Amino acid sequence: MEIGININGDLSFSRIEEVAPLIERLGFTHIWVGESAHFKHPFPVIASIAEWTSCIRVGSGIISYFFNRPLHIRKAFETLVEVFGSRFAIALAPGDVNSLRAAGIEPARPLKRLEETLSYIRESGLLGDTPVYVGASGPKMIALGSRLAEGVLLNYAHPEYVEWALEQLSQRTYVGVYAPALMVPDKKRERAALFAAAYVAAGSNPVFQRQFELEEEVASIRRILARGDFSALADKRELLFERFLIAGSEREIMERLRVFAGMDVDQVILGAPFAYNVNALDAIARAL
Amino acid sequence: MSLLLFITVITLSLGITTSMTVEESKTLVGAAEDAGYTRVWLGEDIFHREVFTYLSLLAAGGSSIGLGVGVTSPYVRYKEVLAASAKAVSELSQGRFILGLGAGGLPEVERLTGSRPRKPVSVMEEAIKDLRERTGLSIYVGARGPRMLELAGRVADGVILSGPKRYLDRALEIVDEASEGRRVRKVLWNAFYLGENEALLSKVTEVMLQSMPPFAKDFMDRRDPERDLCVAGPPERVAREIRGFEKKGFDEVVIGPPYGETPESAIAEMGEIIGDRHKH
Repeated sequence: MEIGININGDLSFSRIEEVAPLIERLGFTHIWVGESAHFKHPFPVIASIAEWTSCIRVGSGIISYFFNRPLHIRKAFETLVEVFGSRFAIALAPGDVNSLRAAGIEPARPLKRLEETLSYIRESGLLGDTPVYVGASGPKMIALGSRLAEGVLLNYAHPEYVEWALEQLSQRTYVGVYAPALMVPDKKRERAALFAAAYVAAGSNPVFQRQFELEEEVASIRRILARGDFSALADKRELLFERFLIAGSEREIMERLRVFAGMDVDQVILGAPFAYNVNALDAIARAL
Repeated sequence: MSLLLFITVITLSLGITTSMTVEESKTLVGAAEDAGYTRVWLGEDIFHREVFTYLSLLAAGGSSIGLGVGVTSPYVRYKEVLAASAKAVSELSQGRFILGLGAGGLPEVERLTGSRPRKPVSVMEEAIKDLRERTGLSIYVGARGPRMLELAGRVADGVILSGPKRYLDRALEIVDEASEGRRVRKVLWNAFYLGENEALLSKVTEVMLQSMPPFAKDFMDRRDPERDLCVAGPPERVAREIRGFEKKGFDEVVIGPPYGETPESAIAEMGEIIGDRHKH
């Protein structure tokens, strides 16, 4: 099983210049760069990581095909492949509905748009063996992604959820598990981890929520996020840590990775803020 | 005192476009850096390489020269994406970044967005205000028509011009009048060629004419369009022309495609010519 690491455009470039080569040296297989309205755009981050590392695969994980034109997604990776060869990966998703709406973008017909985006990127002919994955959490997106893309990245941290998500695949394909992660104790980053997990929970799919009877909890988390009432999130700590984060001691994280390996998961991506703690990176790399 | 503020010593910048490979550009950027150029302007050809990825590769590769997009269109990206990209490149280049906006080749924009761009001047005004607020960056405008020139003079930090010489005079007048004494930096980006190559210049001129708006075309010197639209010729002639642009009030002249028979040496030679002139 491959282990990828996610870092985002909230880090300064000078920090990225330190962390990215370290992630490569430690033997992780991928660096995934996320997108958020509050971060630096992923293209400059991916380009500089490629410049500052030598062989690790760098991916957009995930990039919104509503925020970004398919043209720009394709051209950005064509530009990169032309310079560095095939050492990239593209992971697409519709993106966070609330951020999209705040920007005046209505994410209409996400499945159809995904299909169009995938075929447009495929037409390129200049992307070498760059895989295109779909970041997914709902059953329709998982089914479509597994049918049309090179794989799916499931936005779940808990094995029960991942098991359910695997049942939604329309065919066996490359599967990644992509969740925010934190090695504890880490008081400094606990808040960031809690937020990352809360956003995943808040954006989770309705069918998934019904399946695991999470509707009320999710509604309450959404209200907390909308109010910006950060202290109220602490009341949800147990749920978020247990169900929406890959969190724990080195031993516990390794145990979780073993469970995923046993489920035939192909890659686990330890999401931010995990990589922002160099000791955590180091510990997991050694344990692997 | 106020006169002093407007005495400029023209500087050189390098012009490249996303239709060139990054590798090619890196060589030219290296030559421009060695020759003391002020900055590199990267023009976005909408259907070629992605402009912010491209600039990031130049900046992360250790180049310390100033960078600018010259230009990208506010029609082709959501403003959130444009702002997040521009901010990233600015940080990566340690603040040596200028965001150049232009309505863009309207047919290309139409091909991309599926509809004819409407109200380019008010869209541009809104984009400048919005992006300045989001990014705090210097914003230059690639302007051609009288209303866009007026807007640039009124609100932009700089203006990027191209076109026939008599048109440039008129364009500068419009910008100056609209700026009401505010400092607006003026960049000239016409075709450039150090040396003689009539066949190539005719071809370049033809391409420039295709995308030139009627307002600018009306000012053309039809007897010698090549000389009117290209900064071209042997070193003495090119130096004289650049001196002329300086007198007109330009701050910066772009040494851009097709450069010269050997682009790298043309770029270096121009550095020597203009540098020497400054010394004397």
